Amino acid sequence: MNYECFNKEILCYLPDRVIEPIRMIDYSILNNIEEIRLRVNRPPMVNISGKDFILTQKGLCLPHDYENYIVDNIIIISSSDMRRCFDKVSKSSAFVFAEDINKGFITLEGGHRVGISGKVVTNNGIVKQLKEISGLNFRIAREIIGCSENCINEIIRNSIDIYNTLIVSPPQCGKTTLLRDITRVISSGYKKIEFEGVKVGLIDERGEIAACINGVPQNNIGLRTDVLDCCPKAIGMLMLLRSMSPRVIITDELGDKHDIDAILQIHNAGVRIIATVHGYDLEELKTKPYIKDIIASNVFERVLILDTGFKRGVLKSVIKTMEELIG
Amino acid sequence: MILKILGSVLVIIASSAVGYYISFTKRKRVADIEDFISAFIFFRNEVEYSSQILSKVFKQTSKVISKRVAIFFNETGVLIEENKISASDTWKMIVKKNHERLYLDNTDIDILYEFGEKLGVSYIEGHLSNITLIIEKLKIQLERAKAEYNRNGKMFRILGIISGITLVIVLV
Repeated sequence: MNYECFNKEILCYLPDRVIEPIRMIDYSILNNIEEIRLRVNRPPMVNISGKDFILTQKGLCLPHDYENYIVDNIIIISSSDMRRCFDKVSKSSAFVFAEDINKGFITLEGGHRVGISGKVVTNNGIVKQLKEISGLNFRIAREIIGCSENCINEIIRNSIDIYNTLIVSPPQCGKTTLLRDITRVISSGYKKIEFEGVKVGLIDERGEIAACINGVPQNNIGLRTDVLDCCPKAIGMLMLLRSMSPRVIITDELGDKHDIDAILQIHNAGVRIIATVHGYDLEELKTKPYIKDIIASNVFERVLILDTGFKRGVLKSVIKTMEELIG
Repeated sequence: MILKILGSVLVIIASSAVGYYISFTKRKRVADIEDFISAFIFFRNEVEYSSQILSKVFKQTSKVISKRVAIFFNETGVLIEENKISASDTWKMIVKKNHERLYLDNTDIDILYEFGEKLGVSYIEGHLSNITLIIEKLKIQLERAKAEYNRNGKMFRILGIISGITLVIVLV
């Protein structure tokens, strides 16, 4: 992401007092920012390559150095900073983003996600409102063209077909970035291994993969990809199956029973699936409700497990055989 | 003698014009309130059914109402899109800047300011009830404005003419 993009897509939403100190940070560092966190009555924090730093008037400092820092240089986020920041993020239209806010985030132009914390009002177990906003987390999305190069061989079966693949990774290890690039390659083809490319249906529930604005993907997701933007996964998979005749359906972060039921239906229809799931390793997945069922059902022929190190999207291991998978 | 006649005619014309102007402002106030009510009804429908962000709702509203009131909505829409100050402050600023173009009284203007209080900060239910409340308040103001115009509009016109004639009689 160049500086202009960073300015347009992230900086303009931050409180005025935070913008200048961030501008002072060297661009080579700025380019590696993963998160910017604002919390009421606390200093803003920046996560760079997996490490937290506190933002001060004079630049960044480590949390354990913070106590010794000169008071004048400290920035403390006030309630009005937070309100104004939320106002900017929601474009003064909280009512339009109510559904997203109730899920805990708003997606910005460029696929960046702003997580929201505050007071939750529920009714019969359903979130009705998130008010008194006390924290915002700007998660910066990055499109890395070619980042799937190391793992694409594991996914592709032959020149016109792929394996059903599950990508396993904890949060912030680059699974969405990887999935985006896999989508691009499978859709457009990959000359190096003579893969021709196939029609792809992408269900982008949180708008992070394609980053659509007014329905138009902002990221490169390939030539043959049809996107259902902000659509619940289970509904979207079946919609695409009926309407767009995809050869491959791709979706992010499987979780509940509906997702698993939809995956089984897609599998029965002969459409290939690539999905991601939160987790550290296969053993952990086998303890998760619903996910363990889908693993036992033999739908996925490949499981890619990502490394949890500081470098994002690095493959730790690949599980290829049923014996390994079911254990 | 000719000068006296000419002067008398001028005095009568001037006082009549004042009477007509006061009557005209009363009639225009009715029209302005009606325009704002129409605008807020359209605005409420857009908020409820179009799922558009606030700046677009303001701009859309400005396209379907009289030019005099449209300026409030268009300018607010443009400034909210720039995202430099809050929607609430933007509306208040625009009302402050433009209200003298219209013939509204202080109560009407206070109602317009009140519309800005919850702008952009509330969920849809809060927004809709706020707009509905503003529309209801403006409707009450409209009834009062109409009653005032019916009661006093004609009177001010006649009073203007009569006071002109009276002044001429006294002076001549």
